Amino acid sequence: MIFITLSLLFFCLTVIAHVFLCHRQKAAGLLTRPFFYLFLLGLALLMFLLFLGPEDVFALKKIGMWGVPLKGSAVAVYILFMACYFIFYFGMQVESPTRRMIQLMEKKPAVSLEDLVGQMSNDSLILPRINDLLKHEYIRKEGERYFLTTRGVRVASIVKFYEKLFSRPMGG
Amino acid sequence: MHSLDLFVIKSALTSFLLFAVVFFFALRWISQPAVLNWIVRIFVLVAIIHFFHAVIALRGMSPFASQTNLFAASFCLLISFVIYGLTSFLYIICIFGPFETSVRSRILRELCSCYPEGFSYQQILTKYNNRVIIQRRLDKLLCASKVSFDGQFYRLKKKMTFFSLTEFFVKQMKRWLQ
Repeated sequence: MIFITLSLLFFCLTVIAHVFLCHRQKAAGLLTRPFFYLFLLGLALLMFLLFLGPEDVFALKKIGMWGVPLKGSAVAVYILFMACYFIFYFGMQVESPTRRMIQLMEKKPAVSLEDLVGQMSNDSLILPRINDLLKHEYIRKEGERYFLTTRGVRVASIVKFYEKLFSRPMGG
Repeated sequence: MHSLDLFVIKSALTSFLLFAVVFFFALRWISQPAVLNWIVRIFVLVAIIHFFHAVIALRGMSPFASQTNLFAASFCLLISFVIYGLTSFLYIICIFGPFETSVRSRILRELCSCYPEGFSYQQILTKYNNRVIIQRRLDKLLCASKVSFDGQFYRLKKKMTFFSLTEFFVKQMKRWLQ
């Protein structure tokens, strides 16, 4: 149990450090690189303490339930919690259509499909994403038409592979 | 690595693989709106199998053969569940999720259907537009009992579902990080 507690403590400390860095940053945007470095630092320190630190620090044989030797599980728990934290952090920056729909439905007791379509136009749902794909060079624009770049073809091929793998058309 | 540690990790990863395989085959029969419901059902089913398997295996393992170590055995089982739950969650969000819900990936898929020709903005909208996006999500929310529909209007239900939980976490994170 003490190893899992240590793992959770490291997770909390890494998150606190990340929150501190986010508050200090003035510009908008994701702090992914500092997060990744913090994660690696926390992981390195945790692994050092668990696997290379002195055994008698925790006096395992005498502690009973506290000494359940779950070192590998402690590392796995830390990595998985950090991955989940990153997903929520990323999700915080990205506005999903579902979240916007729920926010609109929270403001009114009853909404029709037409209400939602009126509030969430193509220019607010599709166009920003096309611009994002242009910015990251997944597509290019020639005249009025959009074309896939090599990068875009690679991603689209993965999507096609998933369609074959899952035997269902892509969602979206 | 200690045998208990190995057991916890192996049983969690085996359960996750079982979940991924069962879900993979079940996808051939699941309709798109019902996907979230079936994810939960398959997750719970595999969790029950995991529980019974872990209990039987732990009972035979030293030092858990005696009653005095019941708390330690329960703790190992709990950690195994946590690892199984988190790996399944990450699989759904990172592997299956983008395929099922990503608007950007869908736009790329539409452009791929006419590759090497391209589409204009209006041509993309004839195949994929706000109405399609909203209707798909409404169907999923309806299937997940997050909303009700009386034939004309959709109403939000105050039911704790996966969406509510993730929304709650994201709101709390926004408070702390912004």
